[in-house]
Amino acid sequence: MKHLNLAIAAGFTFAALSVSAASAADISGAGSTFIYPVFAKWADTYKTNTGVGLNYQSIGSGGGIKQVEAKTVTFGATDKPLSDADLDKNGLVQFPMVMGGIVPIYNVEGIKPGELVLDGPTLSGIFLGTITKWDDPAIKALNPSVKLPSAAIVVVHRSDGSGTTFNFTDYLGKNSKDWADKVGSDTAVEWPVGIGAKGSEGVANTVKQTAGSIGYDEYAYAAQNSLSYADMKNSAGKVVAPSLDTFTSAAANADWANAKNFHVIITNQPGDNTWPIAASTWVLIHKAPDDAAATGEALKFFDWAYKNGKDQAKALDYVAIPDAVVALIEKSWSEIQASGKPVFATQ
Amino acid sequence: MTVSIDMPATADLVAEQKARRSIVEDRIFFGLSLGSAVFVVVMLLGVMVSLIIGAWPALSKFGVAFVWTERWSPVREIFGALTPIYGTIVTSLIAMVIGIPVSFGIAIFLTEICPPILRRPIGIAIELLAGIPSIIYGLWGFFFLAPFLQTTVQPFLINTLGNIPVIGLLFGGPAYGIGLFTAGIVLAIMVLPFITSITRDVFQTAPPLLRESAYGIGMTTWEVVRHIVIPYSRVGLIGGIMLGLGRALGETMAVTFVIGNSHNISASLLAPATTISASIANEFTEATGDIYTSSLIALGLILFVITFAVLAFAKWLLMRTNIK
Amino acid sequence: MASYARRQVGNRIALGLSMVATIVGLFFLAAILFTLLYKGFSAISPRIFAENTPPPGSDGGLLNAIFGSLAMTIIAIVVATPVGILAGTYLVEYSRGSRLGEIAKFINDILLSAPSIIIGLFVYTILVVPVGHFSAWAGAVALGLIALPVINRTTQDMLGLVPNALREATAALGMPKWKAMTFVIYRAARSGILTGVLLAIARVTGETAPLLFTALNNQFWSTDLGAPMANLPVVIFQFALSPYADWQRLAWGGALIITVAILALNIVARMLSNIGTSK
Repeated sequence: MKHLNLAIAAGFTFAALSVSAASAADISGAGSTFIYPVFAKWADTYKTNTGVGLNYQSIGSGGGIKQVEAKTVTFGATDKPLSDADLDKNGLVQFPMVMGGIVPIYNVEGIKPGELVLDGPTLSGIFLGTITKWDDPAIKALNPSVKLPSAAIVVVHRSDGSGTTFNFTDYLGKNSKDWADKVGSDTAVEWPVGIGAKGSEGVANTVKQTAGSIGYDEYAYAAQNSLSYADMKNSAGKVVAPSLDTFTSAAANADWANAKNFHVIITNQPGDNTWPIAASTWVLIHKAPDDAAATGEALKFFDWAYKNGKDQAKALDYVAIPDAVVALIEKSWSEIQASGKPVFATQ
Repeated sequence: MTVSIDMPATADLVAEQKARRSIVEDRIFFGLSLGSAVFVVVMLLGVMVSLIIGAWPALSKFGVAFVWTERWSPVREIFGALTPIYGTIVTSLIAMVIGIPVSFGIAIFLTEICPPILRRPIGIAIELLAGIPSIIYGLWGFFFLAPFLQTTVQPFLINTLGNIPVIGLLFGGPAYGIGLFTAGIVLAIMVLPFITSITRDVFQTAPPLLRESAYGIGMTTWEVVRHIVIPYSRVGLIGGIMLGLGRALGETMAVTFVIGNSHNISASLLAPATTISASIANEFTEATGDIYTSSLIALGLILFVITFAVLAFAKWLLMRTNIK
Repeated sequence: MASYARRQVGNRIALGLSMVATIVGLFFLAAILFTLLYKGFSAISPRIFAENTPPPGSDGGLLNAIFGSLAMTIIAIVVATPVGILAGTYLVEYSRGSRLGEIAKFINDILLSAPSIIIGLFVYTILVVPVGHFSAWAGAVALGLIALPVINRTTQDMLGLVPNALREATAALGMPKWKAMTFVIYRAARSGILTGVLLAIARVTGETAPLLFTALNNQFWSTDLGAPMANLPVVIFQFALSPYADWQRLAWGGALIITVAILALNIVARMLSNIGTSK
């Protein structure tokens, strides 16, 4: 594909020269479905305030990484942070945008939302295919007072490259040696069992449609669509429900200041009130963008979201990035330069 | 194609100029139409060449083993086409097993026993099935057929056929709703109009004399169809079946909704799987890395080769029966 | 006599089964159309034609998607029709029996039934990767490449129906070939060729796969042909597989719009070809 890369570079320069100035002031981005609900809310308000729209394609973290690397969008969003090597190779910077929780969602007749309790090892067993029925002893042990049907468990997972998958499988791997050995964790893994659905939206929809199914999704999708989600037993042995509180507790442990390229994973964090499957979403942007104006607009939007979008994020149960970290992030934006000057003018 | 006529000297010049211009115009017209016809051929070659170039990195890395490797791991960058190929073939087979008898039934009904006034409306109605876009089939399959199968037919199959020793393997596992079986049924409905229409045309080529002779010696309608018409039009029938198969193999949107997107090969027909076109549709826009993208294009190349072969065979058979 | 009775029974069963098969076929048609009407009807309102696609959880319309589909279809047909007609002309008027002609016809018919996702991959490689981004142009080209074999084929069939006497008459009058074609032959086959174009439009309207990697999608109103453009099939794909009730309703509404458009085109095409053949 070497010649294609050359062709892309050549074609892009040609296109940049020949195409007139960006006809729409819309910011283009693609990637994580995890962050999509809050991006959509922010974008709506931002457009009303400034007239600048955000054209965000919710195609999964894998897609976001690919599109931003191919320079077909201005920024990418991913729930799996890139390694230092990958960032250098592609000339990208990454910074966290928001944090939230991943919840197991299920569709079992007779079991109400929040009634089911699961833990790491059991969840791993279900997704490994070793636990196949809802009335399995392991599930029964965690749910002594719930009437579990003797139905088969239909596993639903992501079919596309997903940062949500990365964080979920990371959590499973930390709780099950079997999982870590056999499957591992990444944006796309070789799932032993189950149906694949596209995007967080697809998983939510498939679980809704399929009786006896269990999947994993970002909390906002479960809440917005009245899906049943399970409470989890965290690493401290306490049973917690997914909520802004428990997500914030997980996020509190993130040591952003000391992580190079803001590379912090917040699954399985300690704490009595911590939600065990928490995740962050990073934005990827080119260090030396071809379209400085577009990148500038994007950075302005992110700055606005950090400062003015906190309430909307909270309303959707996302944890906003603390102000101290925002300061660090915006300092790192000085790396993003075009013609020798930083693209984002810090106030 | 201009004709010159003997005329008096003054008009000669005008006529000659006109004739020369006409020749040029004719040549341009000829060139344009030739170019257009050649363009179609060039397009096919272009598709083949671009697929081969795109698939090259993956094929050179994995070699021919790509075709029978089961593993599909974007993380470890190891890809194999076996799972999508398996899904494509199995869903198409299910579609044929269900679709061929039903199509033949419809064709027989329309040619032999349908009252003449109903013939046209019913024929048009069946052809309407071909006009419905495949995404509609996908929607319908996902939201209506799959839940229906999951709650009624599949548990029934699992509880009855699932317990028989060998066949049971085909019907084991939980009732997912979506999967190979559902996709096969949706595909069967989609290929119905194609096979029916060609079968009808082919049945009508059977000479009336043969039929009447058969009726004359006392054969029943069914016997005439079975022993006279079908053997007579055998070649065309196979052509029609191949055409339906070609469609089923390449169908994307309808299958993507109901196939279940699982890169695992399972013995059960009720299990989720993936097909070549569903894999490409689902994964292409987010495939990171050259090998991943190239492997998907390689899948496209395999699909292209398979459908080209099937459609070419179908066309050749149909040409032999003089059916268009 | 028992053998005859048995044959009669066998006959009845077989024919009965064929009737069952027809009922099954018609049943599925009815089921699908009924479902479409039932789910899609509630979505059809003036709003659907007035507003753009909404963010998740809100209500809106399909205006940008309808525009995108119309724009790309029109461009595709405008480009594919002349090429298709000319190609069909060559294959009927100039190349009777020639090797190139037979091969070109054969290949055209293969392309007619080829999987459209392959066309999408091809256009991605030649029009998206070199340019660096998705665009409505790429989408239109992909749709055009799908429409081309359809128009080519129907033109061939229609021109073949024009009686040779007409051609001979134009030659006797001394008409240049190109004039004969454009003023006489095309005119004679006019309704048939138009039928072909309508069928091509109908075919292209429902295609999703080729647009997935060429025009992609766009949430906002956009008339920029060099950028990703919203279109009905991809929007339906995205909205239908989402868990949001508003989105799903719009998806069914869009599906109903597409199907009605295609059925209308088919009906008009059929009427046209009837007028043509009844002349």
